[in-house]
Amino acid sequence: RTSSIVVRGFDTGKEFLKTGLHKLRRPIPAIPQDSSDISFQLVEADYDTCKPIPSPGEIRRQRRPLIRLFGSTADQRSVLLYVDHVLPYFYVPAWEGFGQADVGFFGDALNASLKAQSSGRDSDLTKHVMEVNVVYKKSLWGYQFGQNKPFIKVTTAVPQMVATARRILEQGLSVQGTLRFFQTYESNIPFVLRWMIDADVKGGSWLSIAAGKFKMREKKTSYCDLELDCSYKDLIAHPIDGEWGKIAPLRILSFDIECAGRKGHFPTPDQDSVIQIASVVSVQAQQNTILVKAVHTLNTCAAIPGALVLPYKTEEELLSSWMQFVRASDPDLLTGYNIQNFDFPYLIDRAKKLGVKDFPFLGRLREIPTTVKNTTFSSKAHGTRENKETIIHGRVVFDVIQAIRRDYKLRSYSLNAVSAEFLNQQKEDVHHSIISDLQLGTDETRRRLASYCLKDALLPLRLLDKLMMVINYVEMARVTGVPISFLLTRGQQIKVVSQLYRKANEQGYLVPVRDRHVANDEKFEGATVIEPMRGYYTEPVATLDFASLYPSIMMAHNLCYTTLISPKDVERLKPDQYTKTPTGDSFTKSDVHKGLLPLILEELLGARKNAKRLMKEEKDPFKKAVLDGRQLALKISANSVYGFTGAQVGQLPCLPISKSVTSFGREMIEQTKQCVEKKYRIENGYAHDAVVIYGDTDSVMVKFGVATVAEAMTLGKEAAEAITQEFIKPIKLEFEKVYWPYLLMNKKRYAGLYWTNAAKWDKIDTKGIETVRRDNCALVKDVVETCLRRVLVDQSVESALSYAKMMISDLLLNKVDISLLTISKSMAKDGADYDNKQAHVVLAEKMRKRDPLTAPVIGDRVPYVVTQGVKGARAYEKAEDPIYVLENDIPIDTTYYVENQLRNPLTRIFEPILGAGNVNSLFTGAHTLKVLKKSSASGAGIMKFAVVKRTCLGCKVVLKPLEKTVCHHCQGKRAELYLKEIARVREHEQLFSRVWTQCQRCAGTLHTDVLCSSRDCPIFYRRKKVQKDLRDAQKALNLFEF
Amino acid sequence: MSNPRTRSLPEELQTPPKPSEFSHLGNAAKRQKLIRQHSTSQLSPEEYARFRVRNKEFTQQFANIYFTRLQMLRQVIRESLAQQKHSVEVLEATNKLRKNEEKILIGTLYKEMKLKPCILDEYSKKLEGGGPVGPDFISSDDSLVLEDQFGRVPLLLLPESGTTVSDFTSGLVLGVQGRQRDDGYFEVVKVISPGLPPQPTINPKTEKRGYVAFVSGLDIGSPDYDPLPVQLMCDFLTGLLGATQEQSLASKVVRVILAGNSLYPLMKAGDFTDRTVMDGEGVEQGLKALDTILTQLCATVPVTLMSGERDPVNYALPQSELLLSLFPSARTFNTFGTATNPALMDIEGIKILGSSGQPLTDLMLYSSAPSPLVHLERTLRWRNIAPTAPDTLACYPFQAGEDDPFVINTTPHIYFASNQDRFESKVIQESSTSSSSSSASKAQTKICVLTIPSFSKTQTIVLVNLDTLAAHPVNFSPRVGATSPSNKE
Repeated sequence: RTSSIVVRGFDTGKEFLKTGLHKLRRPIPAIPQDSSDISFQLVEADYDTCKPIPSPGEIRRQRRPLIRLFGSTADQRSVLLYVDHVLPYFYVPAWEGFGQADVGFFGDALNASLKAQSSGRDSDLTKHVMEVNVVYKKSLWGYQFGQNKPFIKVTTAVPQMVATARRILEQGLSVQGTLRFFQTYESNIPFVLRWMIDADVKGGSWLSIAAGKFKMREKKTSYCDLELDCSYKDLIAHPIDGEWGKIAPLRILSFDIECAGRKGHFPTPDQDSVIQIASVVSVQAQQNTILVKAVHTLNTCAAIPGALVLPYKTEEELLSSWMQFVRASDPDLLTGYNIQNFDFPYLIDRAKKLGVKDFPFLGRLREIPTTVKNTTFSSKAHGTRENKETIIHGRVVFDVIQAIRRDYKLRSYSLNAVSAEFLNQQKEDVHHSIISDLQLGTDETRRRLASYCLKDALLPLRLLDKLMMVINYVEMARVTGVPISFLLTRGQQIKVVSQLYRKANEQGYLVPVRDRHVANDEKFEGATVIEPMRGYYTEPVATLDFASLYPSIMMAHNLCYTTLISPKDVERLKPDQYTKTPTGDSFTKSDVHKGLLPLILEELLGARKNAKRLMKEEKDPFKKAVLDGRQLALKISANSVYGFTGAQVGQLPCLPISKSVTSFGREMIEQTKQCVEKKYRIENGYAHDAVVIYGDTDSVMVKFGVATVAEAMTLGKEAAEAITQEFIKPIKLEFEKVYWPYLLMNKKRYAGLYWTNAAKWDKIDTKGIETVRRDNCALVKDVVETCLRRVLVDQSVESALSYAKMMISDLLLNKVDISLLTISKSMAKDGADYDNKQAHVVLAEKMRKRDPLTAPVIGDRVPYVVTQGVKGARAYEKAEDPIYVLENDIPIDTTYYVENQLRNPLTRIFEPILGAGNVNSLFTGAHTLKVLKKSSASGAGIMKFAVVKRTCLGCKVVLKPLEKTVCHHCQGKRAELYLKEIARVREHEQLFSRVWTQCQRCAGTLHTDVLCSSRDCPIFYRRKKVQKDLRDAQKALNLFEF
Repeated sequence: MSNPRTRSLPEELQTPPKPSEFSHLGNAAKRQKLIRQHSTSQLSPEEYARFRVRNKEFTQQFANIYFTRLQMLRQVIRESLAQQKHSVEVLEATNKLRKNEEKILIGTLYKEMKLKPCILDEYSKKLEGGGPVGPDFISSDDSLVLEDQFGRVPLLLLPESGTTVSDFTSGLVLGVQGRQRDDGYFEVVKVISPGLPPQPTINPKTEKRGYVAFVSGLDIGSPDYDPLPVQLMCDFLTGLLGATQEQSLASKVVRVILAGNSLYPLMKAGDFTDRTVMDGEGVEQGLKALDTILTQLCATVPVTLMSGERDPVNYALPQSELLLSLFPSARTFNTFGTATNPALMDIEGIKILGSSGQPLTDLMLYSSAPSPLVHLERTLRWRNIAPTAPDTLACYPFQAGEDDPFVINTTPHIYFASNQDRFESKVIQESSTSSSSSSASKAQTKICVLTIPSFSKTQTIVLVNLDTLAAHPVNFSPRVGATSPSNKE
């Protein structure tokens, strides 16, 4: 039903604006009457405060919040629904001796105080506290012996006021002359989420309003196809299953911009113009359908088959019409690569600079401009990162780089590296210094630029598709109940918060707001319990895993905020009514009171089981993918509950829970070890004594002593079943796989060949082996991987050793490809801002002196190799640009690579195999004696004064004037030497042909030269080097011809 | 010795001698004196140097080759369309294309193939085992795009075009007739090849021109190298083998072309167990053996030694000539010469064009045809000796201003590819309404297209009659019934 939009060629962008733009619009069937129901999928939710259209009989016209829900119907119409009559509120516990009369006093006091503190913005409000009630609820924190307590529920006029009220109450409010301090409850939850929880609306879910219950807006405030008002009472939220488990045909617009930077500078919006914007609009459906590809260009541009080229004379026109393009195509999601931190801020700043006033209205609201704000995002997993966040009302900004950063650990996050990883596709990378040249050229060069730009807009879409990101994020929103945009812009905790509130409120609990205390650096005890017996195991090693270990511990022992018994209360319970955990904390048993967290976990894992069952039955691949996304989201959610209770800077850390969980885990691992080693003994009729060689967080490695994978599997299955009986339900020990062979290097560092069936191994499984770290050169990755493959797959330690030796020897003989030696670091700030000298920053400075036009600038990655340098040079002085090294034959510091790059990883691999004393031979053996010491050919130092004379190719003696190749002593070896040169030429010719044709394939052009300068590409340096090598080899060969 | 090869001999020699003649056989005085004719070569200097590259530079990329090739062949296709008075407009460039209008586009084909080996995969080698490798890289997902300097258009071959994606390969210059759909695909109803180039006329000659013998793939130095058939072959060509019949035939061979892979360099283990290097010593011994064979041949018959994939010359096409100094003995004969690969040769006005087989072997990995000979004939009609170069076949990056030597400008009389699995040949005869001359005379084009089998695999050489252009395999397998080539024509 969705097919490509027919857009014929337009000679100018202006013409397109007049006659082509409307074709992009969503297909709108007949305007629906008030008489039909409306259902839509929720995409984005926010709120505004305004004076709403008064309903009949309403007198007060004070400003109040209106929730805005944006979404898409099943027939592709966009919807904006205003939800009215929702007010923000929170709770405080009532004090001792609190009486009904105090309600009024408290409310007045708070109202007065808020009024006094209200800023100019809220001065229009006449009433700040709308309502004060007494409710009987339980605090979530600690076991309450089933008793409700009085709480004051405070309803305020606008959401911003909740935080102010909270501050006032925490700092003390004088009620009837008594200064009282309050701990607030539920005062820090985002207003929209608050409402969604109360209304049981989940992110990405389907909502319906019956006919007659909504009003169409006459005067629209947005660009949506439908704009409605309704009261929250009339909104129906559908549970996510069956028919309402579907996903609406969401529109996605992916874009990329090109800027003409001045030479030697990274473009800045103050000075450098936006010259092209490529956009691709698609619809998320069974198969992602591309509706249109378009490039807005500054100046004319030759046609691109299959794409709409829209040329403009001025940059102002270009920006303004792109904005119209976005509005007309009305995407639900805006995507691209690094758009949050680069493209959007750049466009908005540039439009401001040029005075394009209508530009920052990219959102769905007519009156509210798009804004960019700076945010800092810090997490334990990702560190602190300064980010920009562009808020485009009504549309989700889905920056693919951020999603990939969250979900995958990679060596590099450049679009090139990411496409290579996931799409198996290299992307041509045009250096920003060439972009201006292309722009200043002809129609043809601009067309070339436009086709790169288009590709960069298309790749994020393909990544979204390939990694099922849209589906997975929608499902995560549905499972956790938060809007999709929360998943992208907020941390992990909000997901648990949403689930916890939902469950707590349902059961009459209130969630306390704790001060964000500074982490007290209390160290968690590591999860490892069984010291690894390091070594190289050539017998099968079975792995027994606890399925969902932490969630099942929480369920088995009923660990929750609501079951935690405070030490002074413990005596009030009988010993069989509670569990004392290994850390000494006490929790009630589930028959006394069932905890909320175990309930949430049971539901999540139950839902996951269900999703997996449905997935098995489902035939339709799209629906299958949706279900797979759901089960994954459920699994991640279940596992994040434990983390939430342990996050010390989090919203509601509860160390008694998290510490109990880990200590139970440790006990269980230990217990498993004892069980296995007690049961599987020769005296019990087994062929061997089993040994547990290592136990990690949730798994135990057992060497049963048997010789085959099949036997190990049988015993593994049997042991898992037997030992599961020892534990409380739902804890379950599972047999998953056998490692054979298995190389155990250290805690959390091992590698093994992974078998799940006895016939064929599945993969090489590694843990904790440095192949992804960027400050390692690629050589390390190659050598480590190849050695492991030989040790594990070929089971040949001999060949692994000889390979390692060969690579070390090659390194010392300077035979290793420079791309394998390149290390890269990104230059985050100016050199002067770094406290101590860093290799890449010093190098960037050096390069700037050589050629300011191509030197790396802030934000670039600086690739370098370590060269020999002068004697006594500091490490940071020895870094050099790989291209410069290639061109000038600068000698590499090979010992640096052996000692600082290869030694540690290789030692780790071979030490368990050879024993600590024998590894050194790898670095000192006979193969390390041959070292090629190159003197710089570029004429540094003393070599400046040397005269190059031709030497005999056989014995290096200086040749006589008439001798061309060999001296008269070596005449007999002439043929042999000639053949040697031939072999070199042949090798280089093959490589030359393969790399340069590959570049043509990536660039997608046969008739024009490849411009790519992607230093992330594995063949970038080879490409350069082979040209030189081949030239040199050919020169030597030519000497033989006569 | 029972002679299984007789049946493959040219017909004129297969008629048994009359009984009366047998009676004279013992009489040496009456024996016919066999004299080998001397052949002359009439190559122009340009033709002679066609596949030589002087001053090799490697700073340039491959775009120039495609560009030059497109320029050269676009003109050919335009002219041929003009001659046929084709009514559909031929567009100057792909970016002039408008949707839903029937047009002809001319450009270079590029074939997207998911199975095509990719050097980048070697870097992202996954730790899982690799998939099975088939005999070629063709899959049903392959698709074609047409490119010129201005852009790319994806093609969809409609059934009425009578062709399928697997018929074609990257690097071809073709015209396509059809219209562009809304989604950007160009629906092709007709594919226009450049077609056979004009053929130079052969000057009539009174006496017979004789035979040329093609030998390829001696593979001297290979592990299962058998010197016996090679010696038999030498003895035959030099006239030392067989009775009068054979000797008479041998005497008519005016030139022997050793078409590539005369040597088989072995790789031996390097310093450490993982590396192999070309065994220099092995090559030297092989060269000596080859020199001996060449010396034997050159003493009686002119020999041209072509380079081939495994020979000790450069790897990328065109391969240069083997150094004369590598053959200290054979080089003393003026009957010995070396040639490039591909090579253009001339014997008594008969133009011979061919390669030592790499272009054909590579082509068969990326496109499909009923037989290797069909592949070979296609390259002639596409006017490109090596269409897959440079994409999958290594070749020298010719610079701007240099011609693409792989483009076939004139139809040779003999067109061959050597080092193949089996012998196949075909004589194409076509009368074309001559393109160049205004005269109404219909030019008769006659070409012998043939694949020459590898000698080490089949013990077979091929004789081509320079007058009739008929080709005949001759087998030297010393073991009766041993790997016999299919030499039925």
